[in-house]
Amino acid sequence: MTNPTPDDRLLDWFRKLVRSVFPRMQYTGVFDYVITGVNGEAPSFTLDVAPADPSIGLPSLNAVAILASVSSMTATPSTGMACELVFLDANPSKPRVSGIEAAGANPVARLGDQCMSFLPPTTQIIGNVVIAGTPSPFTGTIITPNPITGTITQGSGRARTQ
Amino acid sequence: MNFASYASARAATVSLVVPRYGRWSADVLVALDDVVPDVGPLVFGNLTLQGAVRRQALYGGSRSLRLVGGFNGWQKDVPAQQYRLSSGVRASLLLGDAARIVGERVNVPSDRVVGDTFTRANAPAAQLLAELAGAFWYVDASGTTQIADWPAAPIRSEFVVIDQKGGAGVVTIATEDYAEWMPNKSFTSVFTQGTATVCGVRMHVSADGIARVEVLTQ
Repeated sequence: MTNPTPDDRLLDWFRKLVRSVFPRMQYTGVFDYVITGVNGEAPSFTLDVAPADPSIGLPSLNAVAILASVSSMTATPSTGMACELVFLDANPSKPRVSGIEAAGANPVARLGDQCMSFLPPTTQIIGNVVIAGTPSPFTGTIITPNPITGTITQGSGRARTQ
Repeated sequence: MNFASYASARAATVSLVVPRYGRWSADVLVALDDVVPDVGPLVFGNLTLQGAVRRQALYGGSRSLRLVGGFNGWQKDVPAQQYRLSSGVRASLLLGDAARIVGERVNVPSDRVVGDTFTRANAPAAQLLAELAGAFWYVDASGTTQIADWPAAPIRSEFVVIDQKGGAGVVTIATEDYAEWMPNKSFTSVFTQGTATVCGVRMHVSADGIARVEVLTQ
């Protein structure tokens, strides 16, 4: 069987019939878009986006909301990054950016997360010690117990999560 | 005055289908070698419907036409476009724009906001019509696409039921008032049980000049 073309009347009728019953079919799926503009401040960004492949039949869109991921993580997008666009319920009134191209491979930590720091295992020390009112110079070495643990107490507002 | 014609060209035969939802269509044979206009009125007795030529061909001194209600535009593509309005994007705006692009006319009696944004895909305008109107639209006698059901009213003119095929849900009637037999009208007769609603109409004029009206019931 040859590929369907608009000149194939029987198949064309069938396609029209299906589309008349499922007019939202064209809005199902995940679409490859490119960010062309970023509006607003974190975490309430909206994006201007354009289809990566203009032949998909969908327009460039302005002020599209970003869909929070399962972990409620949002990221700071920038122009030129690739993104994924979906229509909630296949509804043409509900476009959402569902994913943004990863800007880097490094994981992020959150405010309150435990963290570990590694210091040099030994630190030389030079100073004076006062004994009976008389200072006496000394030198020595401090041995650091690694790692030092703690919690993150400050963060940047450019990325937010629960 | 011809009983049946398209754009003033006398029709030798007509087979007209007016569905409950969607646009009407008709196969018409005119005894004319000249090209008929793309848009014009289809006359069937006292019924006049604004239609357009969907397809036509000349054969054996006659021209056969496939006509559709309106202006033959809904199957044409509209370009992709985003609509954004803080006050809300209305269905009438979307349908009105699409109708203008494809050369149709539309009326939205019960308007509604579909959202503060709407993404129109590059697709046949009929797809937008299906999205926003669902099944509830028809093309009226003036060629305007009405985003509504046909007006409901009882048939008031005289008619005679001359046949009924209960299994097929088809009632054949004789009438002089073809214009009244439109979908969503209701009728009663001594030959049929209860009140029937017109769910679609087929009207025919054969080459011998006999007109027949078949009413599809529920």
